[in-house]
Amino acid sequence: MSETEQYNALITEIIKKQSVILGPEIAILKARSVSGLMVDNDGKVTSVGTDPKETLQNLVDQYVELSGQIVKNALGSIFAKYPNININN
Amino acid sequence: MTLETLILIGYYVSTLGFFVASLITALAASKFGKSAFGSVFSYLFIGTGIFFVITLFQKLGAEFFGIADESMDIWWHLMFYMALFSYYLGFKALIALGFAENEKQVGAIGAEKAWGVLAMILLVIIFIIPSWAEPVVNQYTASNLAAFGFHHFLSFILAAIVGSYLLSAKKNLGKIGQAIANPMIIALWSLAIQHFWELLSESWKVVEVTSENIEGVEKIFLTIASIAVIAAAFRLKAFAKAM
Repeated sequence: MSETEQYNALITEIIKKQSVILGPEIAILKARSVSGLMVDNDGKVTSVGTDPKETLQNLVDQYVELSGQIVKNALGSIFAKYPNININN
Repeated sequence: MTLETLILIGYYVSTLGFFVASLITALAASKFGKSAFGSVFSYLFIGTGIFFVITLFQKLGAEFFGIADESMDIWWHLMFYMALFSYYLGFKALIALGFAENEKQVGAIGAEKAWGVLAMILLVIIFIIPSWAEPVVNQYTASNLAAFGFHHFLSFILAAIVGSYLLSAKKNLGKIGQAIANPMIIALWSLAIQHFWELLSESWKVVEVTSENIEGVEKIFLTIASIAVIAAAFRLKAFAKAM
């Protein structure tokens, strides 16, 4: 799996998990507000832009701002599946 | 302006307040759809809706139900417990979200509907059975437990428990928790103080005032609570709208 594909898969998982918590409408709307990130109506990522790491960081920041500790806990198990990808906490 | 007029204004403000807050909370909850937050805010809607029903119950009065004033007090306290239990379920679910490691721990989304149906059935029963159940309620109202003010004391304790959950929500849950925590803390403490006041004045007779004055002070706290609940509902709606 290429680096971009890994970012696509990781971000898609994050959006899906947030859909369970925030509801699909808000989770997808919030993701679409991140510059460079393209998401289809099912929450699947179609593009992560030119800097996937920054896109991921911006998305996580958006969700953390919204629901704080909920996101931090929810993301731990997802990031464990992608050991090559790190962001700032 | 007489005290009676002030009590009446307090009644209408709190009734309208809880009605408006119920509507706004329902609209905000619908925005979150079938999700953990949708579930949490549905519990808040049910709790606020029950407070609205309590004000209607009180307006109908003891004569309408063919029961004693003391019995009215017991019945609306039962509804008060239901409302607080609904808030408790909502905030407990909100706090649990903060510590959930996976989707299974997010909680049973949809359980709020079952609670809503059960609450509706219980409210209908409470509106139907007071005159039939009067002998049973009279046994309680004549007991030492009632003289101690157990029903007021329980209300006070429940409000404090829900308030402590709210403090956790404020610390851990980002913008959503912060949006509703402050006004809801004010609302819950107003309700707690309302029951503490009833405990002091009606049960323990530590404060000796007329029943009209007791009711007047109660309405002040109830009005503060309803305004605070409206504020929480508007903040929640603004938050959902900003998405």
